[in-house]
Amino acid sequence: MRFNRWLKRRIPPASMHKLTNRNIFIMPSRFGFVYLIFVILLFLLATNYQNNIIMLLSYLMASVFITTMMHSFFNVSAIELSADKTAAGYAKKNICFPIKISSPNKRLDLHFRFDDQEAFHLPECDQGEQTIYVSCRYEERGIYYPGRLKVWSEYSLGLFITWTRIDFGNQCNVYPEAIPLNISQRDFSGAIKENASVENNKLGIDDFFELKTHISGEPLSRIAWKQFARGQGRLTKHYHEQQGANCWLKITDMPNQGVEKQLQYLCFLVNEYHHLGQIFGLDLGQDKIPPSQGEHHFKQCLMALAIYPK
Amino acid sequence: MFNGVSHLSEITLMTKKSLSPERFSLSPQNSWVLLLCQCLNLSLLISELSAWMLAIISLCLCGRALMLIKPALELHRIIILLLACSGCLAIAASGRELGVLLSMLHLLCFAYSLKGLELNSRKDFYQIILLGIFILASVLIFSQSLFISFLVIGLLVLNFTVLLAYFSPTQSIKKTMIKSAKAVMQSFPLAIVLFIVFPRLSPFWQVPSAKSAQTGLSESVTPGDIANLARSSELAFRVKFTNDIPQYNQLYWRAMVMDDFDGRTWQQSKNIRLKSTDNATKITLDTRKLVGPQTRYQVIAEPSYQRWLFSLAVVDPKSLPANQVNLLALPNYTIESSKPISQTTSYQVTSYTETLLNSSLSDSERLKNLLIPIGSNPKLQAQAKKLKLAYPDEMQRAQSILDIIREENFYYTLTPPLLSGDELDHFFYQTKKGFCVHYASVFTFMMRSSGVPARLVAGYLGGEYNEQSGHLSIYQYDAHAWAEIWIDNQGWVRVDPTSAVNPERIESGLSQSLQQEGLFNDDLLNLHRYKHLAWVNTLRLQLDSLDYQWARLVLGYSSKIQYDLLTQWFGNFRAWKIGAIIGGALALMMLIIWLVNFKKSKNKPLSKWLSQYQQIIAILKTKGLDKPMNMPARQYSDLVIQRYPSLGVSFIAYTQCFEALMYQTLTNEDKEQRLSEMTQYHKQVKAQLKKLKGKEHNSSID
Repeated sequence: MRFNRWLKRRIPPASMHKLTNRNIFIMPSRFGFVYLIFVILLFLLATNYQNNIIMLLSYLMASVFITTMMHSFFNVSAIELSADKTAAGYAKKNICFPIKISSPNKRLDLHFRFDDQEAFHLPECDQGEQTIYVSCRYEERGIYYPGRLKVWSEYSLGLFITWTRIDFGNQCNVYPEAIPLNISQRDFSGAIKENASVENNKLGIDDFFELKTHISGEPLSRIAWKQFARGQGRLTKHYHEQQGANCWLKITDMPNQGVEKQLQYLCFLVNEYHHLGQIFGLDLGQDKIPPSQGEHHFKQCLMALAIYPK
Repeated sequence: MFNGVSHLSEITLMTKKSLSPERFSLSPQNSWVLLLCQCLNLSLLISELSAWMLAIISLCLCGRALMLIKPALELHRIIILLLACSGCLAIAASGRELGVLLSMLHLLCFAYSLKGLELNSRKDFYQIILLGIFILASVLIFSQSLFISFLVIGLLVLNFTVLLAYFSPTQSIKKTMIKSAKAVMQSFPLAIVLFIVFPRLSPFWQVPSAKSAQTGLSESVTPGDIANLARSSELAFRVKFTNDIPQYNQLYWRAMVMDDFDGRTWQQSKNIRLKSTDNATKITLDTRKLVGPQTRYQVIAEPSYQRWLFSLAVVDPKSLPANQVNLLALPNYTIESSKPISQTTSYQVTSYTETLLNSSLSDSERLKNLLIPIGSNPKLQAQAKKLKLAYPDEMQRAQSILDIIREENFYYTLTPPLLSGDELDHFFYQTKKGFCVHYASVFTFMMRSSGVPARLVAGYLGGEYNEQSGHLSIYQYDAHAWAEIWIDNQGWVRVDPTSAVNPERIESGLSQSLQQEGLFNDDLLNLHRYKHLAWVNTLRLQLDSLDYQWARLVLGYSSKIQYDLLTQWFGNFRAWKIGAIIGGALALMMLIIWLVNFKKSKNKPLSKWLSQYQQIIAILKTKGLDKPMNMPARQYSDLVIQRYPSLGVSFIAYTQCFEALMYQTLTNEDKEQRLSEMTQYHKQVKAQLKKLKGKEHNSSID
């Protein structure tokens, strides 16, 4: 704990970190200590045999230890790391944090890990910029702070662990796990019944309303491929019914199996509706999101599910 | 679902694959290098290991190779266990025969080769590397020559390469090897400083020494045997004189005195060492009168696994204690070490070559040196008695024997016929073919039977002068035997009967006659074989001089030399000074590595095309078209074109060039072409962007 406090003073949160001698720590690894003992053993052997060459060998190995320390440091230093403020994903699934690495030259054997999470191994980091994805996994929905990112390397001979723990101050929005609703459950839920007309007309060609220029983020399934093939550009099909349909996804309509389960079903439905390009609203009791569509609306709904009071 | 997530989940899968439960595995390439490294490490010890152990080791290594060829094949643990047990039992069974050191060496090599069969974790991998380095260190117990030392350093680099390759699996082995060689090179300066200044300690405890076959002179000489010593061109020792080198025919290097003759064999009398600890002999040693000019020299003796050492008579006993090895002066004017010489050893002595060897001869000594077995070699005895009557003066009598040898049909050869019966009679009256030992023993025998105390001295004669470093190299083929007779008032007088039959041997050495007989036939690579080729000889002498410097400076570096050197450099000897030197060297080394790396990370800007691309992205960013980190370049170009259709053609081409340079492996020509294309498009895009800027400006005015 005291160490963490000290670390907070030493390496304060920032969206970008440059690794220098201020934030890099070097410790001999266990193999490093064994190696040192081995060097002492060689020295004893040389002294007992009064053998100058074995002595030279032991001195050489001792200096290699120092040289390796320097190489270990330079393998990590001068790297710049930056990360987005937020990442999002579903519970019980790996959520990937993109981290941008910019390195002045080639670096080897880098590991990345958030506390208590899976590590990511980057065997080779080229000169220039690249993005890696460090995964986080949470069992429950909510907003998490993944904490410090540990970056470490055992290059060059495994004698040292060169590490740092940097804080991007980022957060991780974890949506509920999406659990599919069975058809029978859907029928009982009543959510679909209310919007039966939508169900029927959704795929009807008769109800086709108009073609608009494709906007990035609109589902690919609704691109008018025929027109696209004719060279008229990317157009999206829009349907008549969607304009006026008032589809509400209500938490109260979900099968009564506990709040968490209901949220998980809702999460699935939100995904499904968004995927189909449906206009929908989300009713969580106190928190209501009016019907709409698009990426932003989708994220807003998922967020609402994530932060729904437990 | 939507695109982004599927893209991410792909990467998630990749991540999982790359890190899922930490299973140790070496890349196939690295495994082979490790196997090669194992073979090379062990090959340095081939001459020390017994044949059955070599067989077991090669079995293990072949097993490893098989596992690499067919990864599906997995050796059962029980097989490995069985192999381990049987190997250990075999070592234990032959432990008595092998001795402690060799048993341990066998065990080490066995463990090392067996470890290769079960590389299941990182721990195993680290163990095998350290064991390998330990094997390299143990090679140095047996030989410390320049060649072996360099080989060991080279293999150390290879061992580190295997270790380094584990942490940089994406690099080629060649690159990795260069890297580890660089690291070792960078470590050398500090190692050398440590070697020079770090205090040397005396041995902490007794260690088993290498018990190799004894080489060089043997402790007994039977003239009936064929000379096999004279053929060897192995180095015996080197000598560096502080002042002028004495004449060749004065370089009689005494190693041991053989005064015990049983009719066939000459050997050292048994009680010689007991006597040297006697008070009485000590006094006689100390009161020797040393006269004439002194000759100071340093001897660097190669391991002979024997105790006797080489010197010119008469050694000043006062010059002995200053040496690293414990030297004893014996009453018969030879010196020996308190322990067998098992590694290259250097010592410095002073001799007074003009001093007579006249410390008093006790009655028992006199008797011993007159002793001949009753009835042996009757013909020689009879002739000796005749000579005694003809020449009452001992020196004249000795000369008369030499005259006989010179005038009669004696022949100097290194391949004399075998002798039988009364061997010396057989030689002197029938075969008349022999080398130094034959002549010296006949002479000594005749002197003894004529009533003059006489003995055989074994040692080396002469040496090869190396002009480059000014030292003498004495090889095994320089081994020699001569006689000493006791003359009252003069003491022991050296007589070399070989000079009577083959004066060339005494004046310039054996090798010419050896070449005529073509005796270096055992080894084609032996440079001594090609002495008649001038350039080979120069090369050989150069190598010899290099090896001598190595032996003198590195192998001969002792705590005494260290003390002298440091006092000379830094005045009086202080611990803090040594600490400061080591600290300074450490800091200097770190500084150098720092500077090298700093330069590397500063001076290497991004490749031109990458920085160009980033420049364009930065411009577009100001226009609100940010490229998110995880967006592929192609997708970004779609985005840009959507926004600025006028950029169209050139931006797509530009992106294509970028992707080709970034992700494709191109030949140099292709690269050049792409680069020039990209630069061209870069200019176009930039110009168009500028135009756009102008337009936007205009429209905002409108």
